[in-house]
Amino acid sequence: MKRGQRFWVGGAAVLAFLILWEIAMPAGLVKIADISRPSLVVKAFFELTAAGEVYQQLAISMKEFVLGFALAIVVGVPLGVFFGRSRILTLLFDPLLMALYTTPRLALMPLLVVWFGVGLGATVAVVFLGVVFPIFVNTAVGIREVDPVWIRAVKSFGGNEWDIFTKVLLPGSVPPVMTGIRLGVGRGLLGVVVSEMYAGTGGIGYQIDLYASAFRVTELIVLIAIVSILGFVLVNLVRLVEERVRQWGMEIEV
Amino acid sequence: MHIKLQKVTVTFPQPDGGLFLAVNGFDLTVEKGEFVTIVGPSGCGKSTMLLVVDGLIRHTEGGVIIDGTGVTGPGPDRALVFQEFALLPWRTVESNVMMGLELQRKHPKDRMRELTNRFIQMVGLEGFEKHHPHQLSGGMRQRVGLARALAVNPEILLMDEPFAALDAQTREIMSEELLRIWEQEKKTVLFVTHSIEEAVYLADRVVVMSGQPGQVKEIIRVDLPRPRDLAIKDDPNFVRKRRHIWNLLVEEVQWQAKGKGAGA
Repeated sequence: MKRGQRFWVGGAAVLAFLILWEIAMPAGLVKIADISRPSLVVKAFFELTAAGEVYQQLAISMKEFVLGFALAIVVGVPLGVFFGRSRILTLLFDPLLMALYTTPRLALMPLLVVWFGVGLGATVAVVFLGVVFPIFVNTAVGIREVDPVWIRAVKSFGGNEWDIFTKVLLPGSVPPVMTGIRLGVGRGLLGVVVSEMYAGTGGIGYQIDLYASAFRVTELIVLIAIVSILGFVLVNLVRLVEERVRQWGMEIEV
Repeated sequence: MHIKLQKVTVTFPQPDGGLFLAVNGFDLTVEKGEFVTIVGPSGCGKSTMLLVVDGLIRHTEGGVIIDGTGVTGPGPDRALVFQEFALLPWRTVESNVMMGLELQRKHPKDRMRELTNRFIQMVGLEGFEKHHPHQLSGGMRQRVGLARALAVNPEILLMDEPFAALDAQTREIMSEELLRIWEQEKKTVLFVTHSIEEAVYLADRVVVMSGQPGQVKEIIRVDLPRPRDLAIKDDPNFVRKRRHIWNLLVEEVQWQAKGKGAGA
């Protein structure tokens, strides 16, 4: 009942918005053709996808995204584990990492281009920098907040440090790691698009930049929608996995 | 003698650099197969003593000797049952019970599964093997904790206020069942509780501790016949023992309150 209500109310609002958007230009509500129309957008979408060009560009972007993301997990999770376990490491590197964390990574872009070159290198680096922090921070917090009584139980039954790591710390920090990954998705996508716009040689962001400089608003909106849908799908995919692994965790807080 | 605690002293370093004397000169000998309960006011160091016997906390002075060997850490001859159950929430009942066996690396997988099933049955959890801890009631969770401890076949069962988190009724049922299992398995049990009734009902001997620093105040032998059921709590002898321990603890709490008042 409630769910249905939400669907209809929300759907009505979307529909109203689309109608208003469609008639805004012919009705003279806006003077110049800089907002396009839904019907034009849909038409352009089919034109772009029919040519296949969009898929190639999407593949380039996804490759950069996946590489940067994988690198961030490979580096971020172990780093988080070490920091979560060691107070001295935390005290030692906290100021440095926080300084890097609070630096807008897009301000680092010129530097990254110098180091890794335009195209793939710079974009992977930007994605990596955006994703590694949420994963690292959430892993460290997760490890630190693992219930000490679980560790005591393992010790009491004769477990060693390795047992504590594999039987408690690793499984116990899966939920916060998943949170880090979810937060990383949005930041990673942003990184891909902006980096390609600034220093790309291909990809969706690069395409956006091309169409923008030609004032092709309709195609621009199509590309933005593609990125937006991609982000939506990815975030919800991760959230699904996250909810599954978190089931026990939520219950236990009650 | 089986467990021999000789003048055991435990100190903890304080944040201000000083030392906190938690237990001072604790003396106790426990026979094989004996059921000994420890009661005392909150913060008297009774749980600390239990963890010292388990080897999770190192004593500062004195001797903690089991079968003639000094304790230096946790060992396969002892198993601990925790007040907070300490089950791993991502593991099923079955897998939680098996954890101790996995850590001991003593048996092949088949044998571990066999032992796991046997003890799940003993604590009455058959049918719940695939459940996760959050799907169980408090009493059932502690049954898992008990099965996990029994599965590694320890000679000594150490129980740290295992039923404190349970409601009164579940608590009585659990203590009755613990006695039934104990009659079968004949383990030596060291059981810490703050319930006098539970202490008398379960024990061959009750150790009453005085607090700050923790010491043995008196040891009371409970010569009630076994096997016992809950009806024994109305026995005049039971009531007498309970009142005696109650008086000892009241004395202790009053003395502590006075001591604090004088110090302020």
